[in-house]
Amino acid sequence: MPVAVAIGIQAVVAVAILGPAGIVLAAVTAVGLVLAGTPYGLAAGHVALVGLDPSTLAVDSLAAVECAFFVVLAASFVRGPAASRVIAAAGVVLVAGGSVAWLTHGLLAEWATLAVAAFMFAPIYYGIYRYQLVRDRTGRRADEPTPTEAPDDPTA
Amino acid sequence: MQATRRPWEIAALAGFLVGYGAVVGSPVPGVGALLVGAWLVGRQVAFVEQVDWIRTGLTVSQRPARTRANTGARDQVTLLATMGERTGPVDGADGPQDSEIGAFPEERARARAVDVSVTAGVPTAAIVDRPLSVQLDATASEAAATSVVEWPVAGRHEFEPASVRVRDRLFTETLSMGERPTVVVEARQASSLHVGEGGERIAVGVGTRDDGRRGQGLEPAALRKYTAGDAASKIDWKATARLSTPYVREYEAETDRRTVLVVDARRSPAVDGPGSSPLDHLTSVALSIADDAHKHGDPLGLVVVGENGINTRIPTSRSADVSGRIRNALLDLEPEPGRSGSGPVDPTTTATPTRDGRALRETISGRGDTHAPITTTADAQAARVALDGTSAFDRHLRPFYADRTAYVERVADAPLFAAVDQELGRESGRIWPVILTDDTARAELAEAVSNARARGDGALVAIAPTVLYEPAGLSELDQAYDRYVEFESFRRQLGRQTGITALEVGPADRLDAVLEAGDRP
Repeated sequence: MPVAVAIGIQAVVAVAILGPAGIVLAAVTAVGLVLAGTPYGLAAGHVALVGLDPSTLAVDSLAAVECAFFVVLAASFVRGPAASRVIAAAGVVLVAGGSVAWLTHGLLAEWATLAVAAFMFAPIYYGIYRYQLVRDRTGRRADEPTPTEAPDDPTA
Repeated sequence: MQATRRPWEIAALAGFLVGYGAVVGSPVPGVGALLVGAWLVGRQVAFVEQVDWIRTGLTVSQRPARTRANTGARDQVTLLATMGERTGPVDGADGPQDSEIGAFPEERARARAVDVSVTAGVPTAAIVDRPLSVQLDATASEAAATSVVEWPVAGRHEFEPASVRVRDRLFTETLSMGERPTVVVEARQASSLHVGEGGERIAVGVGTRDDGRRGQGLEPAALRKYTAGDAASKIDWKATARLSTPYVREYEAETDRRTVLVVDARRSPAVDGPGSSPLDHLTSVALSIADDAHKHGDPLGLVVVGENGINTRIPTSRSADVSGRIRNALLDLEPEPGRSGSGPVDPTTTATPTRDGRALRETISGRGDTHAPITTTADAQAARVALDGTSAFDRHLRPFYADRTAYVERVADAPLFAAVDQELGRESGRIWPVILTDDTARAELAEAVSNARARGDGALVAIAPTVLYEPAGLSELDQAYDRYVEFESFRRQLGRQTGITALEVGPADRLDAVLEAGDRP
C-alpha cells in the first residue's frame, strides 16, 4: 500500500513537471518495481527519464522528480523493521553520494564523478558489515545456567 | 552476515546505470545508481535490525530427557525455539509493542520478513536419528522438535549452542544461541553391587585361603603322636625328647587352588535394563575373583555356559596370557536369549540314591553323606533295578525311582549341571569351581553344587536372585520380600553343605529396599 501511494505521488509530480509523459515515467517505474523489485523499478524509471530528455528541465524540476523517486524508495521500507532507521540510512547514502559528487565535480569528468558518487554505498555497506560482526561477537546473551544434576535416576 | 547472489546483482545494476549515464552523457542514470545503492544499504540495515531482534527475542532450549545415561542408551532430545518479545524498533506498527508468547502481532509478523531455522547442537559423540531442527515462519512464535539420540560413547558430553540461521533474499546470518546442557554418559557396569549373605556384605576372593588340609609345607600346624606308617623324617625330635614319646609334626599343606569360573550366561526371564542385569553383576564378581586369583598366582580357568552347553572354555593356567583371555572373555559376555531350562522348583528335597542302589533321602543342606550324586540315567536305572520289590521298603521306594530316572535325565542334560560335571571330570586334580548364576533353575543349580561338593573341594556359588532384577522395578515390595525370603532359604540350604559357600549377588539399592519392606510392621 505505501508503495502504491508513493507511485501515485511520483506520477503526480512527474505529470506536473513533464506533462503527460510523466505518466509513462511513473508507469515504467511501477512495472519494473512490480516485476523485479524496487531497485529495478528505480533503474527502469531513470532509463525512461533519460528518454524524456531531462536536459531540458531546470535543476529544481529534476530535483523534484528525483525526490519522487526517493519517496518510492522510502515507501518500500515502511512496512519493514526499523523503518525510520532504514530510511535514514538510505538518506545518508544519498547525502554522502551527493556530497562526493559536489566535491569532485570540478576534479573529475562528469561520468567519473557520478561513478564515484554512485558507489559511495560500497564503503557504507562494508562499514555496516563490520559493525554487524562486532555486534555479533559482543552482543551475545549470557547462557542460562546449565543443569548438571540428573533430574531422574536412569537406573531406577 | 553473508550476502547472497542478489546484492551482487543489485551492485551490477548500479554499475550498469553508471555506464549508461556515461554513454548517453547524462547524470540522471548516475543518480539512479545512487538510489539503487541507497536501497541496498537500507536493506542491509533492515537485516541487521532483524538479526538483532532475533538475537534478543529468540529463546532456544535444548532439553535432553536425562542428563545421565548409560552407554548405548537412547533418549529423546527436544529442541524448543520460542520467539518472545522485546521493545523492538518496528516503526509503523500500529499494534501493541509487547505481546505474550503465542500471540504474535500481525505487524510484527510482517516485519519479520526473514526465515529463521534453528538446529540443535547435539554433541559429536551422539547419534541422532534425524537432524534436530525447527523452522520459525513469520507468524509462528514457537516451534519444537524431538528426536531420539543414542549415546554410544561414555564421557561428559556438552551440547554445542544451537545454530540459528537467519535468512532473507539478500543476506544470511548464523547465530549461536541457547544453553549448553551436559549429558554424563556412564559406561555400563555393575554399580552398587552387593555381594554377601542374607543382606550382609562380605568381601569375595580377598584374604588368605585355608583349605583345612595337612600335608607338605612350611607352616607348622600341629603335633600328634607317631603312628605306624609315618615317615621317620616327620618325627619332631625335640617334642619327642620333651614328651618322652614319639611325636610327629604336621604342616599346613600348600597347594595351588585351581579355580574354575563357571559363568551361566543364559538370559534370565526377568532382567532389568542393560547395565544392571544379573549377568552384569555376576561378571563383575567373576572379574574380581579372576583378579584375585591372578594376584595370588592361582591357576584359573573359565567355562561359559550357554543354552546349548559350554560356549567358551579356557583351561586352567596361571599364565598371564590365560588370565588376560579370561578377563576379555568375561568382559565380552553377552546374555543368550531365551532360557529354557527348568524353572524354579522346590529345591529343599531331592531323593538321591547311593551308588549301591540303596535309597537315601537327603536334603540338599549337605548334612548327609558325601556320596557322589547320580548323574546319569544309567545310575538312576541301576538304582531302580536294585529295588527288587521283595521288601515293603523296596516297594515303597520303587515308584519314586521311576520318576527319578526322568528327573536325572532332565538335570543331567541341563547346561549348567553338565558343564560343572564335565569340568570336574576334565580337569586333573582337585578344582575349586566358582559357579555364577541366577536362581532361575534352582534344581539344576542344587544338583550342580552337590556334584561339585562331592567330587571336588567344595565350591563357591554366587547367585543373583531374580527378584532383585524385575523389569518393572520393585513395585510390590511385600511380594518381593517374600520372594527374597524364599531365595534366602534356598541360598542357606546350599551354603550349609560342607565346603560350599553360597553368596547372593545383586544391586545393593534394591536389596536394601526389599529388606526395608521386610522390616515394616
